[in-house]
Amino acid sequence: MEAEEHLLALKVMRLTRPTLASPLPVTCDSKDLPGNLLNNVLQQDPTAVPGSETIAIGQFLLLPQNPVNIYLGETFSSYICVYSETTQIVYNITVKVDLQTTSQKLSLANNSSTTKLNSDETVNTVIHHEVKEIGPHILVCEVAYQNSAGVLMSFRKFFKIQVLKPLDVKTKFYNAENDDVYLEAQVQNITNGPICLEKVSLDASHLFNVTCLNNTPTGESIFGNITLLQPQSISQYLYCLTPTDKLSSDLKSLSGATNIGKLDIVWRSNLGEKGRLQTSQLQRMSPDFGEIKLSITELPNFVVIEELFTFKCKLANNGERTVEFILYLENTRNIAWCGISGRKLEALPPHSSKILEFKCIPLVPGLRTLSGVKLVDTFTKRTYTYDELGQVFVILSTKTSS
Amino acid sequence: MTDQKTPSLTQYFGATDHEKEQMDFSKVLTDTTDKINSVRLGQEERPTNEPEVCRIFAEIPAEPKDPTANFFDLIGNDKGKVNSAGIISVLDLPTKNEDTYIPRVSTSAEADRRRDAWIPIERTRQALIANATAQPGTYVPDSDLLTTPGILIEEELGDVIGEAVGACLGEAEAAQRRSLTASDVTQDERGLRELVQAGSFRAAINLTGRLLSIYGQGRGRKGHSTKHSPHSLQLWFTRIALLIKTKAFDYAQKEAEAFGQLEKPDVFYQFYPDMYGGRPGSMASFSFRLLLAELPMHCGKPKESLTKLFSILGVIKKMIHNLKQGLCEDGNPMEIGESDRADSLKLWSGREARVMHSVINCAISVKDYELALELLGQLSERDGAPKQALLSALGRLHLQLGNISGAETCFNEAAQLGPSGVRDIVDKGLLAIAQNNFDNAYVAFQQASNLEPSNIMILNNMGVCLLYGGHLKEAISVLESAIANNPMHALHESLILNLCTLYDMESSKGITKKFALLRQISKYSADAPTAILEKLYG
Repeated sequence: MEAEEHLLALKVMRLTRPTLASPLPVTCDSKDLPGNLLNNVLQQDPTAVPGSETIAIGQFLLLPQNPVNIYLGETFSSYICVYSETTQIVYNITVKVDLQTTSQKLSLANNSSTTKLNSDETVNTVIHHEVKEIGPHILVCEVAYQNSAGVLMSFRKFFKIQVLKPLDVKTKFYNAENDDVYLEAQVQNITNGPICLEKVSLDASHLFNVTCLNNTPTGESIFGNITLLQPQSISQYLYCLTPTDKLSSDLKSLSGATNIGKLDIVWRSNLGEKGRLQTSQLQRMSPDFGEIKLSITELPNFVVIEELFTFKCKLANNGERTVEFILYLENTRNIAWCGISGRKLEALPPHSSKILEFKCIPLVPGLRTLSGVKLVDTFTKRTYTYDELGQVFVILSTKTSS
Repeated sequence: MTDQKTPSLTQYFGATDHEKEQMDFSKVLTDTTDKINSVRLGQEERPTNEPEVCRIFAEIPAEPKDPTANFFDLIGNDKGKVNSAGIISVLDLPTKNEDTYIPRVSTSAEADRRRDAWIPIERTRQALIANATAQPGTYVPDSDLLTTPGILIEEELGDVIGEAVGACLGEAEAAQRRSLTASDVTQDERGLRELVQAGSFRAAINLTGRLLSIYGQGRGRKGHSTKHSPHSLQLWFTRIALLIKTKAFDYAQKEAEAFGQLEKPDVFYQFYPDMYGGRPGSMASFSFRLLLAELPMHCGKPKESLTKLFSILGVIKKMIHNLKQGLCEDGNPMEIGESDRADSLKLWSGREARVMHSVINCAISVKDYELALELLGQLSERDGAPKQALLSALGRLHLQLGNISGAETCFNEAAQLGPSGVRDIVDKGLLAIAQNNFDNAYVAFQQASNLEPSNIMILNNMGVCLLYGGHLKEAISVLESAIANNPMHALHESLILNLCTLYDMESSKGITKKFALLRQISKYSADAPTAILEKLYG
């Protein structure tokens, strides 16, 4: 399209937050050669704050002077000014602002028409849009008007914007023995300036109850009063998800419950510029419980050498048939079992569980693994061996030097 | 000998005591000598109720906003000026060029010692001992122990505003411009102060160049051995301070290089035993030391500044420790009177606070907000700290980094310490901006403006809010009226930047308006940083 003479023109300014200007403090003692002159200059500087002139945190707002990156989740704001390039009066001006992303076109403003515009007047539009896509965006501004002869004219202007990714979120899941799921989330600042994480929370799926492990017992954040992340820095969050009672009673659906929830993150940067992101649904690896599951439910951390102790396990039948087991206990170097080996257990119906109690005597001090438990299915003759059921720390005596 | 000061005398520097002061002066003319000594001391040793952060400004006379006020006098305001000439003669001090600096600061030896105290680095200490113990005139220090400055700017600096006017508005307009040059004033420090006061910083820089040439430290002298005096070092301090003020950072850095950190023996009094007796201490002023440490951060080397500032802080802490241990600042076991010791502690802890401010500024410039927060927190916990002003600054720091709730806490805490005039209202406005509520911010600034209608910062902030609300024309008219009402102060580079940004948005005729702005600057400003002028032709 060849250049056409237009009666109107348009300018766009991105409205990022203003900054706080401050003076460059140069001071001297009254006995220095310039006496108080430099101090006076500083004190009279409109950007100096009376009472803290030598601290460069002013109150004077400075309009954005340099282009600033825009990040996913931030709000894109712009001032669109249409002004007259002629002395004639121009009629019925409409300003339409759209944002074209790689996938869609969004209408940001569609001003009802301004009936008439004198040569020294402007049509002002301020747009705000929370960016929800990464990659190139094009701001399309379209101005339509009628000249004094009533001829309809229009022109368009395009502005390219590149939306960048602000945060890198890495997650790790741990499926605990007791069916709890631990989520470790690393939030990395990949913007080019420091950001302040205002909120990081896990919106859990309704199948789990969340315990946030990022606070001290008194309720304070373990990160201190503020979570300030320098560029490339990472902040690590930990959550414990406990399956609801309904879910944990059904191993099959528990194993199928892989949707954990979403992380909701709100951050702020320069003078409160806000960004907000929600991750997609976080997925854990589905735990493979198998047909039969034996897991610890009660176990002391410390036990005394050569003293009997007790622990409990839950034996769950996850299969579709009733099973009967013979329980074998094999002594190891570290532990002597106290009980009957080769005992037949009560039949366990499908989708049920029972608690088993074990007694044993530790023989060797130190951190010891409970092993030597064997279950043999009387029907299939299949043997289940549990050589790493749990661990205890064996101490010499409770009577410490007193 | 320093015990002459009395509370009533130190009060002269309060803002409201003018009449009383005048009366007292007429009364005490007969024994002015002692009193003047005390007044001079009083300036530095203000009573503790003056918060440290303010102390540096406390000496400013009651009407500092009046640009015509006379700053060049002993007392610090024009009422006292009448006396000053007489007093110098009463004091019977020499008037040789070398020494003219000293009578102006006439004060007791104790105050001098306190002000100039410094602990030299070990190598310098050794050199100073060797110098003192050698046969007079026989000690020759290594050449790398000498400070050998020289002027590097090849030509005298021109009037940048005049040049811009000439280029944009024509020679005829440029010819109308009146501004002081180095040749329009007496070729001494009095003329120098006149230029600084008029704001003709580049002309003042030129004059320092001429005066330093007399000391053999002019162009082409860098690297040549030379003798230093308090006066020559003050000229250098003034020169480099003004280079920084005009944002000629490259030149400032190059010319300052020769001074290092002012740690070499030849900038200590002990190096010249025949001239200053056995007097110990730094011949360069503390302000110079601080300025040199701050300089790298203006030249894109903030880490270097941090190292230097922390090293100054380390020495000050050591000196304060020495004072508390019953020693002199530099660790010398010399006797100091109780009140002198208290004054020393006051002076040095005030300087400590000032250095911490510089560290904070440096930390902010590299966005190391943790460090800035930590130090501001420490400062506000100090005894006698201006807690309210510091909490307000801390709140704004939180805003700047995006911690809104933290900012609110600080502002509330500051507000509980009592009314602070417009500052807390403006802070509330800034908080509203952080919450993206420019309308509320505007209301707050307007409220503040009702209290201080001539406050340029508040008018500017109102203009900025108007823009974000979609009112470009109104924003422009607020800024323009701020300039019209007080061109002397409102033609500030930040305000000009804002206004230029708005002009650029408003129409394609921005350049005409910018030229009008340049005409105003030419009329009211003696000097301006080049960057802002370039903005006006752009």
